[in-house]
Amino acid sequence: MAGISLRNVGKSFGSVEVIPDLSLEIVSGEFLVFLGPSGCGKSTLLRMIAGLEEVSGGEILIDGARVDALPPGQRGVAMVFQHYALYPHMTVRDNMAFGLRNIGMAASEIDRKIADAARILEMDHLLARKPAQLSGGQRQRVAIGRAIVKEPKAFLFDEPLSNLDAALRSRTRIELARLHQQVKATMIFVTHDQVEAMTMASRIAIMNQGRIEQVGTPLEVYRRPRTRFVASFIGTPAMNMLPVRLLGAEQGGAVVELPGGQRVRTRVPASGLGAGGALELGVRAEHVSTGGGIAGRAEVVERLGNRTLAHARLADGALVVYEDAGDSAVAVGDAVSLGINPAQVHIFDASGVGHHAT
Amino acid sequence: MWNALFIAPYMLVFMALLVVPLGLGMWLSFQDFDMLAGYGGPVGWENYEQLFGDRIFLGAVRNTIWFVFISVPAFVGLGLFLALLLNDGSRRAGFFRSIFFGSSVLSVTIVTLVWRLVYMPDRGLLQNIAGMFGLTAPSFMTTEALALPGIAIVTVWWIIGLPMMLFLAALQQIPKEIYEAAALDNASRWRVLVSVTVPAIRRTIVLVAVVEVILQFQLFGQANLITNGGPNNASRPIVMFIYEAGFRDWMLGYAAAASQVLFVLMLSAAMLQMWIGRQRGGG
Repeated sequence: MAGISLRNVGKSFGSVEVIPDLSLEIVSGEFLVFLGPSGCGKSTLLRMIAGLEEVSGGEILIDGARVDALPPGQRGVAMVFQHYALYPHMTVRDNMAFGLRNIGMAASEIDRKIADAARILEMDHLLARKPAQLSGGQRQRVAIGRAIVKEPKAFLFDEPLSNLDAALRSRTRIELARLHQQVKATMIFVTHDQVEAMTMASRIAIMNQGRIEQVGTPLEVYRRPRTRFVASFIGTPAMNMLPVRLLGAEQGGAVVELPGGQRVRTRVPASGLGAGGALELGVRAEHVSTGGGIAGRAEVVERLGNRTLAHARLADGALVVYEDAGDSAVAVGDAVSLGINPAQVHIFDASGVGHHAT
Repeated sequence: MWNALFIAPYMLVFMALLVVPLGLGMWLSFQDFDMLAGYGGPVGWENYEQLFGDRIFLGAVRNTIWFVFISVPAFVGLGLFLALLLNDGSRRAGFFRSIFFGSSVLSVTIVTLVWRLVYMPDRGLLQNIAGMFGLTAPSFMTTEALALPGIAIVTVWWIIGLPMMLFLAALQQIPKEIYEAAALDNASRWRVLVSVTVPAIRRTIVLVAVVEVILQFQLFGQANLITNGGPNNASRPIVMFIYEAGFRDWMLGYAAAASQVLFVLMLSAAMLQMWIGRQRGGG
């Protein structure tokens, strides 16, 4: 168990700069998720911590000791790969023992550790099998078991759930969360799936184009997205974004005008918004409700059982998703009138920085 | 039933060029068929009895087995070694791959001509180099014990390209992630080779060994052109014996019987190897 510090870490492949300059403190024992779209540099960052990619600049410290020049095996980390990377010709037991034998651990000690890991992961009956004789989920367990037996300072997960089917993925999510509570180790998890990030993370680092856009707890990044990118990346359906014009302030809250001419009195402080720049109003589907002054027409209706998501086209052509009750009577083509909850809106200025209702 | 027509062209060629000659050869080996004296009728096992009393034939069998024994491990070992060295995407690797594979396209005549210039006593390249250090180079062409090893060196130099390419293809099939896992598992380079790479390409190792056993049992051209079977029959292989019996002495029945012996030898060696390969793989 150890904290990890990334200090001004940079990575370039030739002339292509993947990660310009990134600093982050990962607290000992936390479950940190790097979340971002494909190609944002999150896997590269994880591989740099593991030692599988060299750093082009900056320092990486694990437990206070600088590791960025050490070979992967000497950094005290264990990694679970996207395609598991089990040794195909070795049994499950040998797969787990391989790393321990390489550091000269006594056979009895190895047996004890494998027995412990097998018990935690409920895979005693698989120890004599080879990877080809296992299902995807079982291989996943073995890959995790191979990490556990090393008792590493930190676990690194590189999109380990992306090859599992939906049901198994949600079950493994829960198991990983439980495992984190059990072993209390630092875990770093890379994914592009926001549900994985939201459900497992103690903190999420949202990455975009090699930079960290925001670091925070799942609810922080959901409720107070620091940038427009975070706001649109986190949450399903994506946050509604409407171009607006700043009219002024009432009781300190910004008053904005939608393209269709409707005015929205928000609780976002007007003071920080500057004057006259292009602004965007962000509001999540659950904070748009029927019964307001904004007219539109339902175009798509998604019935999810417990709730209904309706996509309404406004007079000015903008599309707004709103949430309605599960048994809502709204049908495609219906005229709807919508209202925006002024306490739950966000305003993004021209540089993409978010301002939130107080 | 009509589906059989689809494989008919292949079957016809296969029958005409492989099965029929094989059967004909077996039949011939039980006949007294001398092109000079004419057909003397079936003679049962007489050709074989005569063969196993023929000192030159027994020597040729010994030579051939010895040649296979020294050349096949070299093909596997050196082929794998070169493949490991050249298994990266660099220009340097591409250049050397072409170099090592390049010699395979040369004809046996060219290759032996070049190597005769190397091996030539007194004036050869080898002697010139050794002479610079005041040494005398071993004379591969005129020393009985060195004739076959000399031919093996030529053969390996000539066609090491194919085993190397087969190994390269196999190495490139191994997922990179496994090597990364091994790096995180503190595996040394040697440990990675023994525990990760070699097991992963086990099938290719067996393939290369079987292919090379079959090829090297048929040694002929190099021996014929470099040493002509000498000195004192020390480098005469079975195929050369068959050639001489059949097309110099015109004893077709006798040559056919020698061919059957070679066939059985190659078949058993290949079977043995595949059996060993299967044992270690565990299915």
